[in-house]
Amino acid sequence: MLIQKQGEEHKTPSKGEEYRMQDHGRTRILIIDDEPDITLAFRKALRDKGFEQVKTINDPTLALKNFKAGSYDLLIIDIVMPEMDGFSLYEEIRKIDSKVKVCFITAFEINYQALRAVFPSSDDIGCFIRKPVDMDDLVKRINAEIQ
Amino acid sequence: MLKPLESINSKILLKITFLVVIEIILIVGSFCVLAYFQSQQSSLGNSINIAGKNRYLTANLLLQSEKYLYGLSSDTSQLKVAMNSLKSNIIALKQGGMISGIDLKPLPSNLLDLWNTADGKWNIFKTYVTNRLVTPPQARTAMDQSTTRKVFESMAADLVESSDKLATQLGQQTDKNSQNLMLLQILFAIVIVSILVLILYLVARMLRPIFVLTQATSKVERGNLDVSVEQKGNDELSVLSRSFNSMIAFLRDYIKKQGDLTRQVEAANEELKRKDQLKDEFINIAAHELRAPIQPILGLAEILRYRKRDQGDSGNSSSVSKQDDDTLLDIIIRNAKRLLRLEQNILDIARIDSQSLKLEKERFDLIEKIQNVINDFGNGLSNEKIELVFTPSQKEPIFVNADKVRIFEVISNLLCNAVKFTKEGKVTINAEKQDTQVLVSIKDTGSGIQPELMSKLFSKYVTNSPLGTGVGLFISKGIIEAHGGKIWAENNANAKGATFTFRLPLEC
Repeated sequence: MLIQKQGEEHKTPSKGEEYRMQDHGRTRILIIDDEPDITLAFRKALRDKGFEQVKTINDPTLALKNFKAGSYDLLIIDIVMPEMDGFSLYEEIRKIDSKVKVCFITAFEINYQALRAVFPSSDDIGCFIRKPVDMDDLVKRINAEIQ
Repeated sequence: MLKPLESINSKILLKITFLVVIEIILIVGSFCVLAYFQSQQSSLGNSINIAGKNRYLTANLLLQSEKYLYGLSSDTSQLKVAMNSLKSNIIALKQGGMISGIDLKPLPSNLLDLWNTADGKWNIFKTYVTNRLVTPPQARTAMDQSTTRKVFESMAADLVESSDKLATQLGQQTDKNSQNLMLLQILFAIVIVSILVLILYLVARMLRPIFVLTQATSKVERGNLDVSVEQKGNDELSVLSRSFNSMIAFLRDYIKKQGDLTRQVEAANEELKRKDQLKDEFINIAAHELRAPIQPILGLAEILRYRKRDQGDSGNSSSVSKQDDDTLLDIIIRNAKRLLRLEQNILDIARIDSQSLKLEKERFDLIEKIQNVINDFGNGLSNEKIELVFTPSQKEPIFVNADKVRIFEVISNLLCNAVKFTKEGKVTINAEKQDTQVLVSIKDTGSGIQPELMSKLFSKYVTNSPLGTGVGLFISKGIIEAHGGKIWAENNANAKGATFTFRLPLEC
């Protein structure tokens, strides 16, 4: 009913609304980005989209220090951060938890080939998001990754 | 175009011509002398012939006399002819002249005695013949005939003998002269050859610079410019040598300058490449920096839009969610401002580069301004482990005439850096008036400046942080220098961290 109503109001119904109906409240997500405003925006957006268990952290070293295996289903990691870059962080985290999925995000002009070149061992890095990203797109990518 | 040879005022040509003329004179002179002696010699040879002819003429006279004596002939004409022939032959021997088509020179004076002897003998013979045959033509007895004939023969023999003596003497004289002539020829040959060798030596010495120059130029051709040729005298080749030396010096100088220039160009090229690379990096980082604020703006604006729609659906909104919305709006505004600042930074870089940074000067209290910056900054400081301390050396206001906004920008920039590189510790700000200037320093206890970064700290796009654009210090320097001031940085002695200081004229 709600969807239908919104669909009437907007010519392009928001995909986020569809995902909200899905049960992904239990998906545990950790967002690691050095920009507090970005993590805040992501967290708020995901909460609003129905992701209940979203945590953010702005310090990659702290994130690694506190990481425990099996704590999260998905990591969203910024590639360029001070002190430790996203790739190195993910390499370290995989040593702790080999099953955790990852989505890299960056505002840099890095293409997928370049990513493969610096990170050849990870065949499972399917998710690569370029900032700025539309929140609906973000949710769509996350859902694609966790399914 | 080549000048005609005669019109060239050539010293070297003059020298060579002079030497050649001397040689020619010498050769011609010696030929003349030799030719003279040669002709003397040949006339002496003629004299020998004439002297030899005496023998035949004497014999002829004797024959004619005997023919006459024995009555075989009564005509004395033939006898007279024979006598005249002999007489003219003897006279010609002494005096010279043309005889039987032969040019004869007079007899050399040293042989006159011999000739006189011969002439004496001839006169005796002639007188006797004349007396005995021509003058008394009476009949003779057989005994007379025999005696006269013996006298005749004896006189003829005397004449022949003296004549032969003269001929022999002439022959000896000729031999001697021949020897002398040969010696003279050898002497002349030696002199001519010597002079020729001397001339050759002089010419070679004159032309020596050509050989030296040839060697030198071939060295130059092989790329060796470390040559110089000796230069003395004042002829064309000396001038050429001098010109060559100065030309080589010029070339050396030119090549050196060219090398320096090339090195400069190469260095400039390297510098340009480096700057270009830095610019690329800057564009990359700037793009990243520009995108970073867009993410919260975009994300939070989307959230607010959904919320507004949901609220519209439910018709009301709680005060809690309204407060949250305000926070989100604040974040959006803050990020929009950040974008604006980035854009301004980029513009400022261009203005500093083109030296067209505009200042809006006004009179204000720097102490108060610094206090404002610290208050602003301190409020927003999330890291509580950093202590901000402002300890001005004097409490009275320090009034400066400067661009308030720009100075604010510099101080907050330096403060921002100090805090960024100080995880934990103290940031001390000081301001001090010195005569007509004010000194502001910001000292931290952070990680300090790496030595390799120190020299290019205030250059464009130089950053110590992977997320820094490296323009803050460049812009700060541009602002301070536009005010006529100076900014510098140093690592703290005996302590952690660094101190950034700027000096500003009070009336700038």
